[in-house]
Amino acid sequence: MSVRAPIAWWVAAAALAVLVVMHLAYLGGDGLLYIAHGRFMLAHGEVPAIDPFSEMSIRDPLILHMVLPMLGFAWLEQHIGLPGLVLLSALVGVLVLVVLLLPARRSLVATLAGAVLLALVVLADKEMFGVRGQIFAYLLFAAWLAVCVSVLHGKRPFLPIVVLLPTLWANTHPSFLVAVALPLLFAGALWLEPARDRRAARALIALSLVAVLASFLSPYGPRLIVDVVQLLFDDTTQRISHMRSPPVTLPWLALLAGLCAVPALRALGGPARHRRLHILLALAWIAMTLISRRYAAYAAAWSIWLLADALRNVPLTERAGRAIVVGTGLAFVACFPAVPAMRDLDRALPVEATTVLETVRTPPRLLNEFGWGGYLMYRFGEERTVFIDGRNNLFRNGVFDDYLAMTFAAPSLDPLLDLYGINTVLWTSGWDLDVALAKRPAWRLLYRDDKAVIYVRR
Amino acid sequence: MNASALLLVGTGLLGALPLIRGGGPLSWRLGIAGGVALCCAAAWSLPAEALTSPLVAQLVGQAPLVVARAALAAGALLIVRLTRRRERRALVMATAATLLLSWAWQLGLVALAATYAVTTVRARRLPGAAPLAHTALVAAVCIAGACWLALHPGPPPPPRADREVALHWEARGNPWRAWPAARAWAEREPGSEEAAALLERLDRRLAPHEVRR
Repeated sequence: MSVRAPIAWWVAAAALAVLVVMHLAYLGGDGLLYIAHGRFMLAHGEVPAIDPFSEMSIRDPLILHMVLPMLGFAWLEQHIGLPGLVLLSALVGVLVLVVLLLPARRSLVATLAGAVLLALVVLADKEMFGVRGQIFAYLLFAAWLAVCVSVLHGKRPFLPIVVLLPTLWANTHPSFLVAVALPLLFAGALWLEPARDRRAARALIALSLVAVLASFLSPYGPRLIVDVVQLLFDDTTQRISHMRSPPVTLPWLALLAGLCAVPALRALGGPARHRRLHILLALAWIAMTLISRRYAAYAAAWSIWLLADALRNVPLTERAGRAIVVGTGLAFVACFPAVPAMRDLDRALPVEATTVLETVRTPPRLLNEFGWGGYLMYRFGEERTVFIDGRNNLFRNGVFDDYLAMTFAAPSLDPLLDLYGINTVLWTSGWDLDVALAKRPAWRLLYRDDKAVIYVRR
Repeated sequence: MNASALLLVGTGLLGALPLIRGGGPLSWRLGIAGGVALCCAAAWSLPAEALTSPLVAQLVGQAPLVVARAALAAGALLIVRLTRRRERRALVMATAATLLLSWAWQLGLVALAATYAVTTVRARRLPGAAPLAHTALVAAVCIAGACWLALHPGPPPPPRADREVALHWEARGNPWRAWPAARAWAEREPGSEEAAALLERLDRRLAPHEVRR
């Protein structure tokens, strides 16, 4: 074998780094939403009690799910600027991929296959590798998975780490529920194993309980986990694109799910110990990936563990090794044309139109697009409120449904515009609402460019 | 998150568990439970309007979808009942259930149908396989259950009074939707202190520039 595994690991890691930096990086409304909240907390020295950014949101006490990234991003944006923050986030994204690939470092095949899986994760869920709390959640997941696997193998984990990881996770991203669920999944799957292999079940359940208790160490105490569970099952969450079953137009995800099934199939013929657990967990992650692409990284991470475990001692002929290296290289080359150009950070944001809104005195009660809410919060601060933004569960008071009806210019458009007293509309050029308002004499076009339009009521 | 999809996965795995555990009477009961739950999930995963529109329109418009999903559920049940090489069949079934749950549900249907066809042919040669009539009866019950769940329109919701609407939207935190109903209530019952108090609360909640009277 002329290509050694550690060298292949570094090559694959470098290729993944190139892939992420080529994305460099995604900056969407949600990342800017974090910064707006962080600025508020830095300015006021406290978490907001009630949502200060939208007067349409529910007036319940506000529970922020991402306090640490919000504070961190706002602080970094103040000190190194937005481009610096984006670059830093891209580098954290690279770190995530490298850490997820770590278990495969002793096997050439696992390394290369893992690199392909992770490349597919980036392609399928590229938004997550931008300025978002999700990237830190992936990092914490990789560490937590290592803890769970070590407990599964009967090792005693270092207690401060066991407490620190879920605590950080709970203050970073709502996906910390995975920290609670993962050990339970392991323990549940152990039930299928012969009795002699089930010894770790109690330790895994204890690990899950520790994760629950650690999540109480946030500004909101036990209310955080209750709120996140409600968010998970909230009707509005099920209707946003990231948490719905992905569309057919995501071939990367279908390919990823298919490839993740390969290690599970391979495990069928593998060693008996924990075989059923390996298969069931792989299927569970694939299923979750098909429900929401946000779980794609988790499925890939588990598959890399399985690959690394199964292929640790598989000998390869030199010809097969070369074929794998060349094939993986070609796969990477094939990926690059599909990577959209992301260097133009604000290409999808209504920069000029927002400047018009700031300079021209438009009447209050602005209707804005959901995905732009975070950007408007970033631009307006506390000076002006938005109609809706990426915090979908805050609009479960019916505003989310009405927003969707207005988005598609439903027959109820005019009554809804009147009901909410909307006098200014900032919308995407050419979308349904733009076309509908252009035909209405009660509305006047104030501004138009290739990204956005502004209408005001006459 | 798509709750119906989650349920599908859960039931798919539930159906797979007894096979992996080793079969026996327990697997048969769990198989039925899994199949019925799959049917419920299939019905649940239909769009909401499919459950409320008239029955005739349902039969015309949604029948292929309902039948396809019910057949899928029944197929899963049959596989649970008939399989012998347990782990491989369980894997196929769970994978197919996984494919079912989203845009690829048609693929899941194809996968299950193919597995079912192969399994049925093989099962005839296996000693102790379930009688086909018995299995078909259970499948028919499942299909009928799924169709009933999917097609049953349910009673129409009674018209709600203005008071009820206003209080509902106030409780949900939407004063804009509550206000018209509250005003209608106050106009119909001018002496109602409750209506006046509600209108006052809503006016306080609405922004100063949109006080509505």
